[in-house]
Amino acid sequence: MDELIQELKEKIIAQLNLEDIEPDEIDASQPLFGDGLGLDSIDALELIVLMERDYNIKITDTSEGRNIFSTITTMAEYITANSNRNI
Amino acid sequence: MHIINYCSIRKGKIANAERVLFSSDEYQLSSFLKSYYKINKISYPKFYKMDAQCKLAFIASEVLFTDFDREKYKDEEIAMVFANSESTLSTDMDYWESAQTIASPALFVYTLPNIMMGEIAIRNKIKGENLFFIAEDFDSNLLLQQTELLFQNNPTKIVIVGWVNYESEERYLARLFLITKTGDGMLFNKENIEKLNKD
Amino acid sequence: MSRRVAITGIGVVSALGLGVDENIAALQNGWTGISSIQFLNTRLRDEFVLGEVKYSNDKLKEILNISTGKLISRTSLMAFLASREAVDMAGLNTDKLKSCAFISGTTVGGMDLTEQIKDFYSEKDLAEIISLHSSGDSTEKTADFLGAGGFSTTYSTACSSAANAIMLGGRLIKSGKVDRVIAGGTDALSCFTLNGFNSLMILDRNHCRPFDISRSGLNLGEGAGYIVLEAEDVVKSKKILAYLSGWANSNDAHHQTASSSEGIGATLSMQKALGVAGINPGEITYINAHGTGTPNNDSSEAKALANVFGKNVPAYSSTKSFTGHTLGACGGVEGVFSIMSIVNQEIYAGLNFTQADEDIESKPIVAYKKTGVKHVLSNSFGFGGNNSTLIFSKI
Repeated sequence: MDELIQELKEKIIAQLNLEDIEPDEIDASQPLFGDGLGLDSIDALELIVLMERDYNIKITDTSEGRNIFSTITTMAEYITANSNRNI
Repeated sequence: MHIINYCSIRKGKIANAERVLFSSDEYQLSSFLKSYYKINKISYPKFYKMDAQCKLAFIASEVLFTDFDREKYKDEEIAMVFANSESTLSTDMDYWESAQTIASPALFVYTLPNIMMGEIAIRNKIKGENLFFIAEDFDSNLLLQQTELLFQNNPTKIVIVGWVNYESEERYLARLFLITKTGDGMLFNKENIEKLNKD
Repeated sequence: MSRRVAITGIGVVSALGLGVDENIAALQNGWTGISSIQFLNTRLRDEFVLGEVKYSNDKLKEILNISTGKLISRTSLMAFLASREAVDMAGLNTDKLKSCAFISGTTVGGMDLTEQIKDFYSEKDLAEIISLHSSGDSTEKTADFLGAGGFSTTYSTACSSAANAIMLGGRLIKSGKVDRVIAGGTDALSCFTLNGFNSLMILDRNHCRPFDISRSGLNLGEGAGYIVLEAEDVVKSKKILAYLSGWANSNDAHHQTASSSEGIGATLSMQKALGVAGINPGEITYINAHGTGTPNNDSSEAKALANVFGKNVPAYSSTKSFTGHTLGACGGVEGVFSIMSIVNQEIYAGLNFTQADEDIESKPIVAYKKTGVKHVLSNSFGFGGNNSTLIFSKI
């Protein structure tokens, strides 16, 4: 799980162009949206792309995405429970 | 119509009406603009998410607004009219490549040329009119005509007008003018536009 | 100088048909143009419904007497048909067309051709197809086709492109710079936009339901709509259909694609347009709403309507439930519908509204009716926070 969390931090920084942020500065339990990392709705859509491309998980309902992308930990838990990929 | 400020970005150089503000041997637009962003301590993380053309327009607008008393004007008193020849061709191609597998929403957003004005509007809380047109070349008559029409319209008092065109990391050009309806300073006319364009 | 801007010709192509008559008959009778995908060559064929113009490119060329071998974008073909109808209705002869301005809005340009290139290295017509790609190409080609030789330019401000083209036309005439303008917009369906809107997750797989509680996205459409604007003093004895009396554009300054929940930009553009027209909100008879059917647009627009009209929101509807969202063309297509509402003294209901959204105080009209129509307001909102409003008035 820790490995997946680290991997997600790096991927999110790359995918969402969070250039001034280092993986270690992100707390896995801090909110990704709103006050946390300050992501917006387009970022949420890019996270949906990331889930499909890298973990083979298709999210078709944006409101479902809101819970999954609450924090990096919730994302990692969801991937562990649903991924078809060997991780 | 008078010119309050002017900014050009081309060939690794950022200049205003008087002088070169920043230059770099690094012609590659993305790294060049990033150095300017860092050196000037601009703090706006959304900058990194923009496509190259928006970054070009964004930095030019940051230069224009230096020393400008933004608070003097209401949000809807500032208008924008931009033009270019390529629309968003470079990002269109990047997005289209992504669409061959999974289309990227973040790229698709930047396949509309007026988004650059949207970004500047969000940054500076500008709620006036904003128009974008496609022209073959930088056309001072057209820009003058559009600015004049905007000023005929209440409540426009300030217009940001100009050309922002990104073809590649080596070929790019921004020329933005910050214009006031009344006041003093250099007149916004064909002669002065062409003089500034000579740099 | 301040001159009244008369409308003397209109033309439209949409999923509802070719020409004003077919389009208006569909609006009067509640016949939708949205259906499963027939023409667009897309891997999403079985997933979405679209408002396609129901003719292949070859068929459109045949109607226009253009050889089927000629390379020309669908965007241009639709513009030819709609603008020619408008010019014919206005009775503009070769001489008048020589000095007539042509202003067009588009977002995709020749994308419909470019995106079908399988292999850039082996495509024999590559150079020509690329030359047709630019957004300016369809404008140039259409001006040439009509013989319109005056000032010409292309607006590209997303879904408000055509509305902004019409606004510029109005301004040029009002300020005395030109006497005649053909203005509007055109956009063909493309895989480029279908995949893009899909990635934004704002497409409904079923027929869109503007302002309904169950609305869950828009349907894309295609089309072209143009109007002939003439300074009142040069019209002489010709029939005037209506006047273009108000226009405005504002930025929402909120988000790249989403509208602010308070409808700030939309409120400003409607208020400013009413100011330009010099009329009170209470004088508007009918509003052709932007009404895309996305949860965000419709609640934001409804909030803006409440901001401007208070408790007395006029009759409103979204004709995108018939045509789909024609993107850069919608201000032209819906401009024509708004003008016909005045000409025929009737208002058009939207489709698929069954249950009100409790967060929206007003309700769209659900039945077509004949009624006295004096002023019609038409909204077109685009990504980048670009909000435009046009007002058309009875003579």
